[in-house]
Amino acid sequence: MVVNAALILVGGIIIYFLIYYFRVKWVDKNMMKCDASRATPANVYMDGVEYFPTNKFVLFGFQFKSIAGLAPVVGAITAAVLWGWLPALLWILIGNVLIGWVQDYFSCMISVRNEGKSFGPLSYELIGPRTRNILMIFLVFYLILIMAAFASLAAGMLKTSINSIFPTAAVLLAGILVGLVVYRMKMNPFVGTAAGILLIAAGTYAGGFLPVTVTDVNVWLAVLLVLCLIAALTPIWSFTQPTIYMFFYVVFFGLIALIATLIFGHPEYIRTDYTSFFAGAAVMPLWPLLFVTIACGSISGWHSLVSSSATSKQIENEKDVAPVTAGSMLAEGALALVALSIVATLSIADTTGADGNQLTAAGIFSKGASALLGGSTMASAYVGLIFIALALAVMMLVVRLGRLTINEIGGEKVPLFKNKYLAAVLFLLVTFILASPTFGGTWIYIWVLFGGSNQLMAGLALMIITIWLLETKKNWMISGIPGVFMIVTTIAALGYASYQSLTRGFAPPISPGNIVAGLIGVILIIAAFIMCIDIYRAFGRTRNMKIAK
Amino acid sequence: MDSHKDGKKGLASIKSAIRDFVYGMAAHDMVTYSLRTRMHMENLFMLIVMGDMLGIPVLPPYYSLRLLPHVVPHVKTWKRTLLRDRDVTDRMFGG
Repeated sequence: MVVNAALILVGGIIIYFLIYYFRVKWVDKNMMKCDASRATPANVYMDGVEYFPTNKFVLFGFQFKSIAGLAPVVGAITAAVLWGWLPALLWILIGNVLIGWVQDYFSCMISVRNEGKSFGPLSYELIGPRTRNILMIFLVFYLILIMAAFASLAAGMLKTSINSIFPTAAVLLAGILVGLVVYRMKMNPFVGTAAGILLIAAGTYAGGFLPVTVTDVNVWLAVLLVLCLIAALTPIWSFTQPTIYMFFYVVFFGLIALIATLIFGHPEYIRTDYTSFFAGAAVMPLWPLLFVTIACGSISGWHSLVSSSATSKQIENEKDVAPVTAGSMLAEGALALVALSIVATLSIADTTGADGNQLTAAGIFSKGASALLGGSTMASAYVGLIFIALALAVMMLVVRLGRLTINEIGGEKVPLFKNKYLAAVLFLLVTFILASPTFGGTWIYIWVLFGGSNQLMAGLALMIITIWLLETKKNWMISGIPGVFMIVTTIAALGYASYQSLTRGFAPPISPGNIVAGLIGVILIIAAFIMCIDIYRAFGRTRNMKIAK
Repeated sequence: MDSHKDGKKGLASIKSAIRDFVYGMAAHDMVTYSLRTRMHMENLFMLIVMGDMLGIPVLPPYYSLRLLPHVVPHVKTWKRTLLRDRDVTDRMFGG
């Protein structure tokens, strides 16, 4: 089936708009009975730091940036390569319309109606203390797996996209420059930003003429992990934050160019629309794996944490919850459609390497996006930079969060884990074992496990929402049915990925990367079953209380 | 004339929305981080001035008394911020 990419993209955006204006607004008005005059935590507890009313457009930008990274891009590309673009398209549309916005919207709304509490305390109160610990387990493995999956892709991109090395170095330098200009020299941020953008433009131009070739992926992996270690241990204002700030400009302009090309350039979907239920050499079944391969873009547990921990404390009035949270989720769906269009405009032969194997998601993005932007060396350098920027921005933050989580959770039991250096090095060591080709971890299973940990958080978030809706006598089916679907599907996906990882890991020659991945999968499955028992009990308890009343 | 004015107003609100959106994506987290850094510094300042409250006379009473009028209006917010139970999920976003 040959379809115009603009049709898919514009059609998808129209569907999202219709869902927002009819379904989301209906739920907001009739089910949640949103009232602009009801005081939000941002007004009641205003401290000007964590709790403060913020303009809805600012919050929309903040929420969108916090939820949309590399995951919707890689997920959509990987799924389209495995099962064809049609199943991926359907899941991006249906998942977002039926489940994605529901989770994001209600996560924020529950928090707003419960004094701005985040999902840790809410899971403790609504389900039980053990569930809060299980949420932490999902979180730790989510961080490790996302780090491994992105590090592997970014290292591969640095190896193949030889013109992107110089631009990447330019962005890192620009980040340090902006940090110095804004925080040390106290100059106008616009001066630093303009200088940084000029430096990046010069770096990208130079990158076209100055390729850097290092063929060992382990070298690039080590470089990336050292960068992340620096990001985790230095003050956030000196390196991490300004660098991510400069990455934003790289990605922002790149995305605008890509969207414009897709709409006005009229490329067509020439890739196979549907391959088979059991896809690829790894025999990946569409159910359950499609639903965890595309997490962000359809539904992602990470969003519930952003909505309840950060955004809910800054909501100015209840009527802003829908545009900020559901709006951002639907916009992320549109981003996933852009990524899907990039891969679907390439044929299977285009995405096959010289060795006969499929290119990685990084390779496909590079090839597809640079073709859309004209195919010059400069375009290729810039596209590679966009991908690396998206990956590194997430990795630099994740390693900080991973270090913090190990300090907080591990430090309670083993005081040694309170040491920030040890926690960061430990976190990066596990990442290296999972991501390095030397230790033999299989990327696709790591991606499925990452999606699994993410979707388990989503399942838990949906069940917390369900119990809260039941408690407050509202229609709990809106989140209950999607919650059960996500939990069952994710456990099945984790079972498959763990079994495959362990089988490959113990087959000679033994690959420690696969064994570690498989064990992580087993721990996640056990935690998921315990979570199901707790949710079942909490649901029964809440229903009995409701009947008694 | 009115429609021209309305059109101008509408354009201005669209421009303002786009500016806010870009600011939200690019710099909102940097600004909130700076605010948090200031909060931690102010917590230390409060502790120095109000140390007597906890039985820790950090500053000589003369200076404490001079600073008290600046500090007292913020005591309620300060206490609430310090006493609020924070989860890892809160700390992840800088709380």
